[in-house]
Amino acid sequence: MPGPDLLSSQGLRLDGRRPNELRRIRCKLGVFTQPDGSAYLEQGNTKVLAAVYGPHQASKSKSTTEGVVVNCQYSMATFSTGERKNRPRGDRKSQEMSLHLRQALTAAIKTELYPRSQIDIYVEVLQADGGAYCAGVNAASLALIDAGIPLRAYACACSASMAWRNGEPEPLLDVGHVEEAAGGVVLTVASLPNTGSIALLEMSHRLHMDYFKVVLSRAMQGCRDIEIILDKAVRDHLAEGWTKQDVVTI
Amino acid sequence: MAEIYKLIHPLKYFTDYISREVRPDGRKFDEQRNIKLNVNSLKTAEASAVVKCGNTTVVCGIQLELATPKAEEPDLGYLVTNLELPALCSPKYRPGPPSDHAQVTNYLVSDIITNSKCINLKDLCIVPDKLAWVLYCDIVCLDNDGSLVDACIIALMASLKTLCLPSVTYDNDTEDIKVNADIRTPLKVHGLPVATSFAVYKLPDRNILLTDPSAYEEEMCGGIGANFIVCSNEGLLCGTQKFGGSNLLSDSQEESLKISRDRTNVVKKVIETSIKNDNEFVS
Repeated sequence: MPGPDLLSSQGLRLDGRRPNELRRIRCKLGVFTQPDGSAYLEQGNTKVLAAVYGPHQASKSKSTTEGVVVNCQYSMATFSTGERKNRPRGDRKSQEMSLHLRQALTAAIKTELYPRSQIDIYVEVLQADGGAYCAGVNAASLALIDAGIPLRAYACACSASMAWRNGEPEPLLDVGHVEEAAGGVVLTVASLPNTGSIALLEMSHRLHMDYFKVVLSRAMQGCRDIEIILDKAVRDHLAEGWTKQDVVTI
Repeated sequence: MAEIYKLIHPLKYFTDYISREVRPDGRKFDEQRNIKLNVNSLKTAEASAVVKCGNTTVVCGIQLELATPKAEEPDLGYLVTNLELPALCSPKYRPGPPSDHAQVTNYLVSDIITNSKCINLKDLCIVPDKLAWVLYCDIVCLDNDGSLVDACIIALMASLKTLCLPSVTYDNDTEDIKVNADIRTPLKVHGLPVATSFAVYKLPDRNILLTDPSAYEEEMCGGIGANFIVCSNEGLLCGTQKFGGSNLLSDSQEESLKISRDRTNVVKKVIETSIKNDNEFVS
């Protein structure tokens, strides 16, 4: 499969990363006061915000006795991409992303604890540079923790692609916008690394079955790496002694 | 204890504070919240700014497009401002189409910018009747904790002040457009409109003017959109409104004009410092 040239002869990627290297992740919990939980996450140049409201009483039509209704909304700010987006939300892509967010996060939330309730999760992409969905899941995971909602495990998402080096397959971790645009396969995985389960799997383009396993295992490795970063962020945040009650301005 | 008192007697709780000449968050009546500003924080937009007034957080991003001017105004460009209040910024908003409040605030912001004449639309025209810039100024509110219009105007003005337009050559015969992104000229901005919000609270004997109210104070003083907003550009008023809520007395009006004049100087300093720091960071 002569894919596009994503690796240099030295084995470095277009943005200078090694194949198994994540982009720099910077995150912060509890950035806002209005929502019950919020988080900001930067993955390279992709910047996303997540806010969680709830659990609160669900509207009559949505309410179920089985568990909490998870309502997700993914929206991209009009200035998040180089070309101006006219509809920040409600278009096909955002709707699809909202659905995928819900699927991934419902897997992580202990939904049975809150029957007849609803949790609203809003994700806003401020700057998109590839992997906005992954960053959205990671940020939402942090926001849920900030809101104090019981989770089974961290929900982490990561993407992986495929490149060739000296005729050997070499999967690429955490695909950026340039690599995404260059074509080639992008495998997006949302998983609960702690339990080893996959909550969501999506692949674009074509990939030979023989190589699927290596790409998937690299994406899973990425999820595990991200979990460590998120966990550290949560611990640092709590170590600061920062609880919501302290800053409530009455 | 205070939390419970606030829930049971919301009005009395608030009045207790006000009658002791202090606001629930510890500010004096005429004291405004801290302003934090960061320019050029987004790389996908041509110009951008993030501003925090207390907890109110607003992001503004400007993107450029080319278009043909309107036939009736062939030498004017376009300045389009758009304010978004997504559901994530406050528990009061529901997801869905923009609420009435969002639309009213949106109009308010674009009216202020148009009335202040801080941007001459003729500067945005490249070739009359053929080609002009469209400035899409998109403002997104990330956390709404009151005095939204003030924060929007600061974010918008800080972005406009950092905006540089690429040079464009237009061939009249072939209608060929060449954009050179390397040669840029800063956009001319005339003056600096600054908005100041006040909430009017009615005590039995007098009316109190609260500068830069938080969402909680706005709610106690008449709810959404009842703020008294004064906006001036270099001493010229360019948008003053008071819809609903408690009545305004003429002497408090004078006081408010004085406060807004002081605030203009503060905002000006904030924007200048922020742009200077950004330039130093780049070079």
